[in-house]
Amino acid sequence: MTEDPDRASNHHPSGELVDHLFRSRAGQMVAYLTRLLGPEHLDIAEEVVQDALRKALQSWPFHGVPDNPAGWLFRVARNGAVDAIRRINLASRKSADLLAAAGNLTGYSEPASLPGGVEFGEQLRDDELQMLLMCCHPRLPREARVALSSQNSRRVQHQGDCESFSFRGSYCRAKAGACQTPDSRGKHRFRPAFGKRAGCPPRFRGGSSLPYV
Amino acid sequence: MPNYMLLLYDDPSTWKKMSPEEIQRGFEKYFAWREKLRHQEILVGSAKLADQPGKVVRGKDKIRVTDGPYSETKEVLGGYFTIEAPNYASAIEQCRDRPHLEYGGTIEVREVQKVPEARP
Repeated sequence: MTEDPDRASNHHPSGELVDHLFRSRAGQMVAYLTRLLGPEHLDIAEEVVQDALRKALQSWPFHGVPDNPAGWLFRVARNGAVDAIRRINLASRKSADLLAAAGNLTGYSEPASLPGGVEFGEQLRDDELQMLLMCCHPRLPREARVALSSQNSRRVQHQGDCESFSFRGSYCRAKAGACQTPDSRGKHRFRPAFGKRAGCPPRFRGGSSLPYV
Repeated sequence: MPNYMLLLYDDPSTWKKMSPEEIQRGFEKYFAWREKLRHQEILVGSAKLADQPGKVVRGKDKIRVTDGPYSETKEVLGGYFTIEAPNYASAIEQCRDRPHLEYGGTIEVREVQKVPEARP
């Protein structure tokens, strides 16, 4: 550093306010939010305070210090806490339904001892296929279809069950939204290639009825 | 004097796990740097880009819009400073003590092109 930070920040009218702001306010804000949210949400309080400090660190050096820096931090942290609580409420409303649905899965332990044996294994494969079809649904934007289904087909491959898709593009590129593997006709080359392995279930072979992603 | 844009790239996850003390220290360094530019009266402008992934638009015949860049990406353009400097060497000199480098970011320095004047 060519310049003493304290001296430099003091040139700004808010400089003195900022000198110990983050250190001194962090504990205060966590305490304030914990009172508002209840002690069981201490982790949320800490998280949103850290996030508010981080936002200040990232934006004030570009835009300058706001007129009321402490007020700014409190407001941002409180908004973050409100958002977090909304997410929790939404999750708990949904969790009742999820628990009810999960009740049907109590028999699930290991693939070898699945209830119903082969049929249940088939069911799982159907679920996976259903998942793939869902990932390829025309209502989704094409880029999302590529990313979702390549992510999914990789999982299927990892299980060694069936090599269902072979994508020439990499998953990373698709996820980044790049999707740039143009061939001469400008058509992208993410193509399903079925039946490469002998152990592949018959109904996965051919694949002509499955949509291209 | 020409203007130079300092484009600041960083890994957004760098800031996720900092303690208030570390944030305080980081902020003092960053702010001192900005003040240094202001005192030399070479700071033309600066802005921070929002954290959320933006949009990428591409396509010649059919326009495609995707989200991006994602914050998992290691180098995201986070913001910029525009400064006045006589030449590249001087602009780079101003970057040397930018705390951004200390925190693992990179700075792309680009001269802003002046529009050549049309001859009568």
